[in-house]
Amino acid sequence: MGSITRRLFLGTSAAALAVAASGILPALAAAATGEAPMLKALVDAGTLPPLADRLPVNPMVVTPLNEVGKYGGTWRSAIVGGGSLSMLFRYQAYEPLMRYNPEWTGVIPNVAESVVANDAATEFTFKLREGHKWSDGHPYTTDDVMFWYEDVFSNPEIEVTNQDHLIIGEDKAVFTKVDDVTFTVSFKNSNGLFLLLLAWADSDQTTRFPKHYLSQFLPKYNPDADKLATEQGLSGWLQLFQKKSGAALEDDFFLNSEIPVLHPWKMKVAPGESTELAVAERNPFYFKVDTAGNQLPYLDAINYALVADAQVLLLKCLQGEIDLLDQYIGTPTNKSVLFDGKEQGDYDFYTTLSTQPNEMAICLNMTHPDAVKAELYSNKDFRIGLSHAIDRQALIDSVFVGIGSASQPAIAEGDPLYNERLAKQFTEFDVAKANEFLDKAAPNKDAEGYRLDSSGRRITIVFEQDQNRLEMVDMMQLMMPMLKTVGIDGQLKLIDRSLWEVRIRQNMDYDATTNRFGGGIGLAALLDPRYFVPYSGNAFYAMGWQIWYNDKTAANAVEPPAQVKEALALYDEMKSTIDDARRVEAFKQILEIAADQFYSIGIKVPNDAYGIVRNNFHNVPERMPNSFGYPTPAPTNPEQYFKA
Amino acid sequence: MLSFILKRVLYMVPTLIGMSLVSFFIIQLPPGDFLTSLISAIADSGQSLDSATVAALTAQYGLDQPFYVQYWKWISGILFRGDFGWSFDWGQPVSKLIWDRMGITLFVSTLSLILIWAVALPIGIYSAVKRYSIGDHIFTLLGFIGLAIPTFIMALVLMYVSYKFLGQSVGGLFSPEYQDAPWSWAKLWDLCLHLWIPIVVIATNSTAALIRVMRANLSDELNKPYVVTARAKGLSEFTLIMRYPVRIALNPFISTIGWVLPALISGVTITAIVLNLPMAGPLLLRALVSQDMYLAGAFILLMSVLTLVGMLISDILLAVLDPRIRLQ
Repeated sequence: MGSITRRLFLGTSAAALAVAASGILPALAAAATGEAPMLKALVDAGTLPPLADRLPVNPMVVTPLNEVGKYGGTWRSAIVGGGSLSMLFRYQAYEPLMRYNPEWTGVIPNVAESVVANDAATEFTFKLREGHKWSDGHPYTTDDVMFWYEDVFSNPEIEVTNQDHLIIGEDKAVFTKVDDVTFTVSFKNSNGLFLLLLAWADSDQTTRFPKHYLSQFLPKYNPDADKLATEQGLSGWLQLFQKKSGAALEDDFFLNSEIPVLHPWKMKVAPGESTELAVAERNPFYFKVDTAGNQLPYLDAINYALVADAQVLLLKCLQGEIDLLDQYIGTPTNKSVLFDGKEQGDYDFYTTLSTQPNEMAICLNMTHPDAVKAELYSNKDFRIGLSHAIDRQALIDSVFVGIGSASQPAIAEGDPLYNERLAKQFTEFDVAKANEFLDKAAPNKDAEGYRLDSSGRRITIVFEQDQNRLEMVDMMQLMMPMLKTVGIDGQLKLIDRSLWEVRIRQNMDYDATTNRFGGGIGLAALLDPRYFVPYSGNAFYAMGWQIWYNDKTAANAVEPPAQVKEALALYDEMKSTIDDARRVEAFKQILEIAADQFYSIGIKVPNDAYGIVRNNFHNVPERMPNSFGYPTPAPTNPEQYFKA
Repeated sequence: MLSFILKRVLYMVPTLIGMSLVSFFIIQLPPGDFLTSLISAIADSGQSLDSATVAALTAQYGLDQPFYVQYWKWISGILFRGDFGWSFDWGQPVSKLIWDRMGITLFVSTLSLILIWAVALPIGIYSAVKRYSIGDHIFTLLGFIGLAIPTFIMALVLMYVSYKFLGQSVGGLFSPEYQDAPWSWAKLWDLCLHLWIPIVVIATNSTAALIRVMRANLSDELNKPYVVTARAKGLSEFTLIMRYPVRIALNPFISTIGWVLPALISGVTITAIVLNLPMAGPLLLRALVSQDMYLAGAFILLMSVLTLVGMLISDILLAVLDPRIRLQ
């Protein structure tokens, strides 16, 4: 695990299936015998069943990274106020049916003991672990999965979020119970990416909905459900159910300390119950053991200090009050301060490898409702001209202290799918070239030297920018004069994040915006290729096309050009095929089309980030991918981290 | 006097209604609502939420209803059931969140208020009486420095000093090991170790302003004929100053009690954020930023009530203190 390199090789789902199907796990060393002293005391006192009754018949064996650990200790972490709690998936709550391996090259069975797919990848048979229990000791069986499928997922009244892996267009997954530990998930068409998507950070609702607890909030099981809700001042059972389950908003899940879980730690004091310190404590029924037969996790609890300001958190890190953290603090500006404080704070760094395609993608709105603007922004020559007008090295030098090289949004160099044309085209700074291309798109100028569009208006591009993304703001500010030299009136409009969401995601009449995220390497690119094909609401360069792809009858759908349609068809194929060679081929073609289309303008390859880990905190890899989907650091098994 | 108080209390009712309407309206003025700000927080972590979910949730939270419906839902809950609603952000009843933080907030604010008055008033008096003396110049200099340094800078500097040279755990009011511990002498000592930074920061800033006001007010009074008369009649200097001019110079302080009460709750927001104090200010700010409207609304309503009550108190006190403004 310590040897992950910048290359994250494309995982082959066939290989993953093979491992899964054979169900071969390291042989369990006799019976599991080790347990945490705090649990042992409870067993001795007779308030907790003995270990053998708490573990499944076949517990999952986790190989510790360096060594078998010691029990005890608290992982001190922090949450900065105002952010999203879905961050907690990263630390305490990553237990889907399948999980990513630490290298993020494929998936392994997790809560599922095994999975078998048929040859057409239309039917997947999952086998759960016999004797698996929720954190309150209640059995976790197929009934819980079917409860979620029948009463939640299939219930038109209940909104569930992030189920893209189960819904492909009209094709909605069908769950069928076989027996108490076996069920099948079937699709009408092939779904080759299903298992890979199932391991995504929050594709875990099948393992997060305890029937015995949540059914009390549904009228089907409890006629008084509505009363229960109104007693608490809520509008009805639906709101109460959402609040207790987090089916639609994952934050709600973490705000509920009552709900039984399968995770290594369980909320004891939820954020909100205290507004200063949230606490998660060990789950005595957790289903994993180490190679020596000790039940995991090693750490007794996680404490999250709820801080209002990131600077306070930085000081806490310097003082050694944080054990492991990469969120909030892993910024380039903090690096020198944290480096100087290494000794006093008794910590060291680990690297989180960027999985994104670029540091910043500038998206011109090619489906602008204003036909003249839409035509201009869709003109590739225009975008090429803009791209050549940007002095990327100047931006890199002043904003990123010279680290990183110029690039368009692309697959990272070194990845088997690296496409040099996609990455490097039009990245050189050349005002003459910029003018040459812009002259093709908009030759006329006004008295002040600004170019005019086809209706005779001065070309003014308003870049609507989320003011909280400081590095992007810096880059854009430096870029505006560069655009002026080639006759473009660029205007930077800094707006509040909330307004940005409304303006960009819900309206369609913005000129241009900037963003990042999305995948640019290995599995990340395969699972989230937002800058290479406009398939989702994150395709800020052509929202109209994306809407067309998802719903051809929608009011503001815009039919894309033939080549983009081809890319979308290839994307469908990529998602459904079970033939890995074919998938890679389809993705390569998508990338070729993306290079032809030149959807968005990038600046530089993304920087790797870092986290800090205390020197007495062990079994943490030195490098790991950085992403929400691979919820860093969860796939590296925090349950085997220990303090000594 | 009694009828005056009664009348004032009656006037407070329409004022409060107006304030609640305006504050609820202002909370809703920024574009978007709680859900859009949540979505941006979610997107920030690299995740996304599909628009169908957002639409369904908007309806479920009632965020798509017109302003007056939402307002009525909110205010009727408060009036008829004493229910301040739920905080979307924290998933808890609003009243619980506010009360949780009220104790520590009042404790810290009151302590600093007492310190401010205890330091500022004597110095103000001294400076006015011994105008242009060395002592006056020193205090004036200190006062201006205190006034000029932004509280958050001073808080950050003191925290850094505390971290670098005292090796103390900074931020918050307790070290991590005492956070959940029951009260003990050790915990109290730990609290004292943490408390000095916020108290010093808050006090330095406000003390300066108070000193200047006191000095100016008193200076105006000192040369008035009644002071000369009293002195001519042979009153000792101390008794003289304390009994007459100081009482009058205090007027402006008394009339600002109306602002002191709400300031007790939200006055030191920036300092509290920087120092990570579990006070009400940061909670209010976060509620406003995340557009958690019921929590923010409850805070603003609470502060409106306190302002009105404070104003009433200061009017009564003024009347008691200064016979000239007693109502006929």
